[in-house]
Amino acid sequence: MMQRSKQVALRVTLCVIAIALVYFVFIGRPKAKQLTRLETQIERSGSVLQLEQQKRDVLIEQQAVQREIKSLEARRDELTSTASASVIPARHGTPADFVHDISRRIKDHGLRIVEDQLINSKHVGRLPVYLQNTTNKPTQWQVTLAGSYTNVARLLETLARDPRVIPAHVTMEQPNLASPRRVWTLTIWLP
Amino acid sequence: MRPAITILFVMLDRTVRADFSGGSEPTLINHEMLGSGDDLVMSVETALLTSGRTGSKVYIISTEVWTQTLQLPVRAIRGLTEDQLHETLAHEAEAVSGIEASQSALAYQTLSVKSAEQLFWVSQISTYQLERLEEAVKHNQSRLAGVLHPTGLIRTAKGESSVELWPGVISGHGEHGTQVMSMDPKLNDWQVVLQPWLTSHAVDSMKHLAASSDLIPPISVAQDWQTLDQDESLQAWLTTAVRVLSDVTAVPRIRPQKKPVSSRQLNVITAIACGVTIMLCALHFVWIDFAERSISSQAGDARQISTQITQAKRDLAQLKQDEQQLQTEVRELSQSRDQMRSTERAHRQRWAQLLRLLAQNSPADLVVQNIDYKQDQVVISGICLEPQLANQLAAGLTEHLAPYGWRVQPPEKKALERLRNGGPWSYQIVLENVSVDPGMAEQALAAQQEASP
Repeated sequence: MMQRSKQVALRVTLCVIAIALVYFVFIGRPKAKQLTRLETQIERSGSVLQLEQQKRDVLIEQQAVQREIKSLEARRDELTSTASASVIPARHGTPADFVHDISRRIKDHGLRIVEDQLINSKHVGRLPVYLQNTTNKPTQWQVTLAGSYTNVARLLETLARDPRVIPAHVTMEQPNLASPRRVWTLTIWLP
Repeated sequence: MRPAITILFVMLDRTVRADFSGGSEPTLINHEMLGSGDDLVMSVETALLTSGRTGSKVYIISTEVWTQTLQLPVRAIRGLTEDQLHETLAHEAEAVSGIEASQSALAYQTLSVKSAEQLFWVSQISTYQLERLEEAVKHNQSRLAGVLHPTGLIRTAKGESSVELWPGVISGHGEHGTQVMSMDPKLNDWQVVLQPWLTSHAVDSMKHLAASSDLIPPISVAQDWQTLDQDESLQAWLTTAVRVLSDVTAVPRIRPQKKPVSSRQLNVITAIACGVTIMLCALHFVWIDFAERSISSQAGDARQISTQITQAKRDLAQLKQDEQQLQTEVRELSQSRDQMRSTERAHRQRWAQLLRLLAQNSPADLVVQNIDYKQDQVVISGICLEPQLANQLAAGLTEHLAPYGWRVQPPEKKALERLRNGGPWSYQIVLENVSVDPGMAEQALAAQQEASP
């Protein structure tokens, strides 16, 4: 009786073990391995929530950089437009008006105009860097003066304070050492 | 309401059924007169069929159950397993009961050891009878809790003993031992049969029970015998019996043996076990598959987000590169603008500054005769009485004109040989046009602005 019971138990146990073993070897274990692999993958890459947070952080940083870029572009445009603008303020009159005005000042400083001429922009030679990007090509006015050193020096100091003009160059000639009279050539950039 | 316990008490001439429903008193007692030739099984079947529903547990107490105490040498049974002892007792009983050992159902109770002899109280019926009894009870939707002989079901107080006379059985029960002999009380004197047992038990504290009054020997009439002829005494005895039966070790009771599993049953059990295993495997598979799908979905989402993060980081890196380029561009433009502005301011001021410096730094014996402008160079020339005077002028100009974008070249001098010392000397100082250093220029212009009225 006992032996029969043992046989029954053994048979049932063996069947159960066989089924469980087949399931474990061919289905359960591969599935469990796949599950473990996926879990490891998730652990390595972080949870979806962490990744979402990371993505949000990157996008926020991206937006910040984009804002900075916009700001820099605006600054660049401003600098570019500033650079292309003439350092000589826009015309508030014709070259003739300027010539008239400067001529008056020359006279006021006790100087005498011997000769003057406008030099065409094609013949002015190499432009200084601050005039190279201007939209209107500046012209030069060259005037030959007669007068003392002191008066010319004062005239130049006056012109240096006038934002509308820039002295391009000055020459001086003293034909006679015995006489203080000098001949000057003053070249001025006009806007 | 279904009773909890039913006792079927089968004697040679009648069957008594007692149902117990929790209370100590039996609720129903039936008397069924047996026809001649009715055996135990038929009596039970009749009793079950002709009355109402039986209790969930059914005890069959019958004088047809063979019972007796047997002695076996201790050394003969030493080391035997339960099954082996059971088998040995069956063979020992066979000689006395006449029931074939291989076809008998047996129950025993281990009693005391005397003179290297182990005493057993054995009850036995044939397997055939037991199976039929079980079937009959089972048919009535009850469980056969045991088949036993009525002897020993009387309850005695401490120090008390009892003598029982049953058809075919003489027994004595007491705290010093039990002796059950399969003998007819009508043919044997119980005092002779139970002589060894009687020596160890006091007669004055002894109860006497006889199944019927005709079993009481004439010489014992003087003694106080309890018989089961009357319903009251029978009811009292059954009430006591059901209490004694609650103690499983009180008397040997024969229980239906568990049937060995048949091949069909084995197949069914195996199939069920396999089915349960397969179901568990399937459940495990469903669970693990669900988990895998869930994690796979998460992994997919994570992969997608990772790709998006990678793309976003790439875009960010590109944006940062663009930002860096723009910063460089802006810095260069800014520097260029500063440079341009400084240059423009320096150039605006430098001619006035040159004339001022020439006036300030020209020694008394030096005359500036010409200032010329050729090929972006300013050439200052004149005469001086001493050659070092030209050097002095050049030195004075060098320091102050550098912020204005002019580099002063060392003066060239030439003696005119009109004086004794070779003088005067003509000189030439060249101012070379160079780029303006914004820092120096701004400093110089600020200083000039402070100095000018």
